[in-house]
Amino acid sequence: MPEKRNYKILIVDDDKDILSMLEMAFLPTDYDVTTIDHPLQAYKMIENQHFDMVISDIQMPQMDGLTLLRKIKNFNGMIQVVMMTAHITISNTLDAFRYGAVDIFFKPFEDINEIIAAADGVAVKLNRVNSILHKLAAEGEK
Amino acid sequence: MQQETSKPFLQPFTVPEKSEFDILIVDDEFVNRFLLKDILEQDGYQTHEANNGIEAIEAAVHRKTDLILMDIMMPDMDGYETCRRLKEDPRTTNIPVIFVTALTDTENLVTGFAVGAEDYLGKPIREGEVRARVQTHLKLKAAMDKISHYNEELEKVVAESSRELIRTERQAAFGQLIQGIVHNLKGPLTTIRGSSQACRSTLRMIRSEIEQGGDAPLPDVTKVAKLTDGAIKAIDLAETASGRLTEMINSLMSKSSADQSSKPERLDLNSIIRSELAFLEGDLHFKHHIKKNIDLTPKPIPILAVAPEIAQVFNNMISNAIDAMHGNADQTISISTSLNNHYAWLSITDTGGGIAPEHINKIFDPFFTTKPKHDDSNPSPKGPIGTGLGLYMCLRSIKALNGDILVESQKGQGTTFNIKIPLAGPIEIS
Repeated sequence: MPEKRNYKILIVDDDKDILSMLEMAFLPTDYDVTTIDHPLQAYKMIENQHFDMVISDIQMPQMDGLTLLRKIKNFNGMIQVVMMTAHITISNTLDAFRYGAVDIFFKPFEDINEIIAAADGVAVKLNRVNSILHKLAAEGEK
Repeated sequence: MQQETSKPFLQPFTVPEKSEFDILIVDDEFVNRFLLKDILEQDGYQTHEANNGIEAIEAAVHRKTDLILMDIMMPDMDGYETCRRLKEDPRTTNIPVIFVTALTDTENLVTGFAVGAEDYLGKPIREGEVRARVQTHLKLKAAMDKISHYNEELEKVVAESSRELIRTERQAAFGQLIQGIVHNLKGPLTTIRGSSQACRSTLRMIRSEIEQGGDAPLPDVTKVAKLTDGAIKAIDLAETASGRLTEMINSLMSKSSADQSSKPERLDLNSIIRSELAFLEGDLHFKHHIKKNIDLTPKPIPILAVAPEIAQVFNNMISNAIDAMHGNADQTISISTSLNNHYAWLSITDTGGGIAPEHINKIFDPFFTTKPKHDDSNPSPKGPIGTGLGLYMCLRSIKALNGDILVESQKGQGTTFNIKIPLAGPIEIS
């Protein structure tokens, strides 16, 4: 199976400038990036469309990112979620991992390329796991 | 604030020396005046005299008078009328009046008390009775004066300690707000930093695309154009975000300099509200979980006030509204300003549980609160806490401007506070 890098990513943050900035940062990559500034709409999109990865802020109106993370993991455990927050606390960090996030980044980001690197890490993992899943599915069909 | 804490304001009550009392004797008959004057001066009191009602009122207003002994039957203005006028005038209303009269039938006595007299002395006068009644009423008057003085002092002490408590509460709230403000500043900072880094990566890619030569004869023009557009967009983003950052810092600066002023100035009520709302955005609960309907008049509303006091009243009203809606599904605050009859009106409505009818007349009383107080018996209360001083201080600040705070509330229907403040001069047309 060839290396797949055009995974679909949904980025969620109530700050539209940060969304544009992240969209920009992902521009030179092959990822298919969608952004949304509202967590409730974000969850609806996740239910109705396919996303491989979600990058979400924590402190947001209507629904906080940790709740969104739990809902996503309940809905589909395969979706890989990366958290980001300006509210740097021990509980935010531990909760993010407890609820199944793959990573957490603190704002302002040390280096925006670290987030792309995190996405690349997730992509490597997804490539490996997906190829096994495909194989299993193919064998099951026989 | 340094206070003379060593000096207790409540001194034990002692009746002053007799020579410190000055008694007014009113009678059109010289002989009657002379008789009373003689008894009283022998007893050690000071006296002064008037021979009719008009003179009596004059004397009571302009000279220190502790007690009035007055005849009833006088030409022009009788004792009843004189007494009625003395009791109507706030300057003389507290001076006890004793009628000296031969008319001691019930009807006349009732009339005497009805016009406000404290007591009567029958004619012909008996020396012992005069001394006893005068002494009793002077003692009573001295006690009353002391009590009203105590009340004034108490009022001052309550106001000062309230201010102190509120200051402490405000400092704690301020600490929390600072955290929120820092959080808000991180937004644009994240954009600026991230955009710069993304821009650098993009420019590097453009460079390597152009330099690669060798294998590919020409750079991929479409790709270079796309990357260049991206780099420009990143720079635009950083610029916008730095503008946002500057705006936030400017509004903080103007708030902090407004907080320093302590003199009444001509202010725009709408600007104060806007700047306070921007500041309150630092409170993450207020920013994210409270719906806000803001409807301010398009024109400025000039008022004469001390900026931080108005800001404090506004803040207090907002935090009360937030507390009232604690745990509710719909948390909406409506804020509007309007002009009406030479007054500026500020209206703040919440969607909280409303105020119980038995509480509505007490909410402005000092130390009245329906929230748990934070004290030793309640070291870690759940939900909003209160000192019971917020509204009391708000009303004081607004009353000092000759304004008022009106409240409309029904249990379960939310609460509206209407604050009215006199307008400062005509509205400028800009």
